[in-house]
Amino acid sequence: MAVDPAMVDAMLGTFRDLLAGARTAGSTGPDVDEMAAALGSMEALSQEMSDVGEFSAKLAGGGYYQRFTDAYTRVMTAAAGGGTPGAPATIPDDETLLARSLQAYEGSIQQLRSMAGQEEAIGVLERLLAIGRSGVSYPVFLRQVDEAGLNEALAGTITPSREVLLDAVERARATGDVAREAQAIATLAARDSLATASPSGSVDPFTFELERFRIASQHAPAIALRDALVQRIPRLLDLVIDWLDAHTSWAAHDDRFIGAGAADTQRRIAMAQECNPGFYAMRAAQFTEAFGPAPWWERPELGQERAAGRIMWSDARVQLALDAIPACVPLASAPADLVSRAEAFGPNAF
Amino acid sequence: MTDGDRLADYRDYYRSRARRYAANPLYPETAAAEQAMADAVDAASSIEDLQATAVELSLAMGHALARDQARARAAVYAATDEAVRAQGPAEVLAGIDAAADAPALASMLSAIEQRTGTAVTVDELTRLWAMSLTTLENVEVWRTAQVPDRWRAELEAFATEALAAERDTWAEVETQARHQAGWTFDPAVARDERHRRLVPVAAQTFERRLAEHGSLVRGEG
Repeated sequence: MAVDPAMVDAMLGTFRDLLAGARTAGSTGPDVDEMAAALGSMEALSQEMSDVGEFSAKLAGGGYYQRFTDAYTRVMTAAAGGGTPGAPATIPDDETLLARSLQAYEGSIQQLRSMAGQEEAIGVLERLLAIGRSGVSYPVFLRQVDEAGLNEALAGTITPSREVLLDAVERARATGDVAREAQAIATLAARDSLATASPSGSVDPFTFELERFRIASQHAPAIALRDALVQRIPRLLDLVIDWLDAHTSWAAHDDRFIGAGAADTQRRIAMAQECNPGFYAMRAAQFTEAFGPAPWWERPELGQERAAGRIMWSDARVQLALDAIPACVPLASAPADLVSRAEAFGPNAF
Repeated sequence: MTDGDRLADYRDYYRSRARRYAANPLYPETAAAEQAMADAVDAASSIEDLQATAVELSLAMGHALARDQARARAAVYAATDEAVRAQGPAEVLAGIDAAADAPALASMLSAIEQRTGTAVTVDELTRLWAMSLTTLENVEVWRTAQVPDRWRAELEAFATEALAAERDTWAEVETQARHQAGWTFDPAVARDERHRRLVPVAAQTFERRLAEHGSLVRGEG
C-alpha cells in the first residue's frame, strides 16, 4: 500500500525538478548521485508507507530534505566555482545559488501548509526563508542558518521542543506517576544541558535522541516496577473490601455483586465470602515473593494512586480493610465487628 | 560581490561549523574534519583553489560524522546492555572505510539501519512472554488458593479459558516472528539484561513464571 501518487508528486515534485535541473545543467559526480540517492530514499518511502501524514512527518523529521539540499548546495557551490569536472559551463551568481536552494524549501512549506500538525516544521522553514530573503550572500545564509540551529531543527522536527518536554513533566506529575515524572525530568534536563552547551543554543538531534534512549533505558525498570505494583495493589485492597462487603445486608444491592438474576447474585456474594480470603492469601504471597517483604499497604504507590484518584475508596474504607487483613485468612468468615463497620457504608459507595 | 568577499564569507561559515562540532564531545573526529575544512578554506587563495580539495574534505567529514555517531551509539548500547542494537554501529565501524563516496556511504548506513531495525523488532518479540504474567498469577490463584471444594470446578474453568486465550495470543507473536526464519522463543534470551530489566520481579519468581510460560502457554514439556 503506497502513499497516494498525487500527493507524492506534489511533495517530491520540487526535488525531482531540482535533480533534473542539475543534470540538465551538466552537473555530475558524487553530489549529484547523492541528490539522486536522497530522492530515491524519499520515493521508496512513499511506496513503503500508506498514510500521507506519516509520510510527510517522516520526510520532515528523517533528515531526507536536509540530505538532498546539502548535496544540492554542494552541487551549486561547485557550479559557482566552475572548476570541477562535470560542472556546468554557466556559473550562477550568489543570488541564483540562494534562489535555487530556497526553492526546495518553498516547495516544502507549501506542502506542509496543506497538512495538519506541521506547525513546528513550517515555523523552521519560515525562519530559514526569512534569512534567505534578507539580502545576505549565499555563504552568509548558510552560516546564519547553521548558527541559528535551523539545520538541526529542520532535520530534527521529531526532537520535541522544550515546551513539549516540560508539558510531559507536568502531565506525569499531575497523574501521580512518579517513575515517568522522573524520566520526563531527566529528559528535559538533558535537552536543556545540550542547548546550554551548544554555541547556537540549538539541540543536536542525534545527541538528544541518543541521550533520550539512554535515559529511557535507565528509567525503564523503575517504570516497569511501578506499573506492576499499581496493577496489583488495588486488587489486594479490593479482595479484602469485597470480602467484608459480601457479608453485609446490602451486598445484594451493590453493583459488584449483582448478577443476571437473584441466584447469580447470591452465587457471587457467596464466592466473595468463601474464596476471597484464599485468593487474598495467595496474591499477598505472590506479591511478597515478586516484590519483596514490604507489605503492599506500606508501599508509596498506594498513597500515590489514591491521591491521583485511581483508587476511589475513602480513608475510612481503606482503614477498615487494613484492620481486616489479620482476619482475612483462607476459609474464614468475616468477624462481626468488622462487618458491622462495613454495614455503615451502604451499597455502591466508596 | 568579489571572489575575495565570497571566500571570506565561506571562511566564516566553515569556522562556525567547526566551532559547533568542537563544542559537542560526541563528535571528536567530525570536529577535526570540520576544522580541516575550515583550515583549507582559510588557506585557499581563490574559490577554485578551495574546490580543488572541497570534495575530498566533504567526504572525510561524512566519514567522520558516521564514525562519531557509530561510536556514540556503540557506547550507549554497551552501557545499556543492548547487544542487538549494538550490531548496527559495529557494522558501520567495520565497513565505513570501504565507502568510497557519499552515495556509497549513505547507502551503507541506510542498509545497516534497516537490518538493525529488523533485528531489534524480532528480538523484542522475546519480551512479550511477560505479557502473560498476570494470567499466570491468576491461574495460580484459581488453581491453588485455599477455597471450599465446591468452587474448584468453576475456578478451573476460569483457568482453562484464560490459558486458551493466552495461547492464542502467543500464537500471534510467533506469527509475527515468521519473517525472521528460524526464530523461536529462547528462555536464555529472555534472561538477557535488556529484556530481564523490564520484568520487575525477583529472580525466583522470574524463573518460575518463565518455566510456567513454557509449560502452560508455549506447550513445552
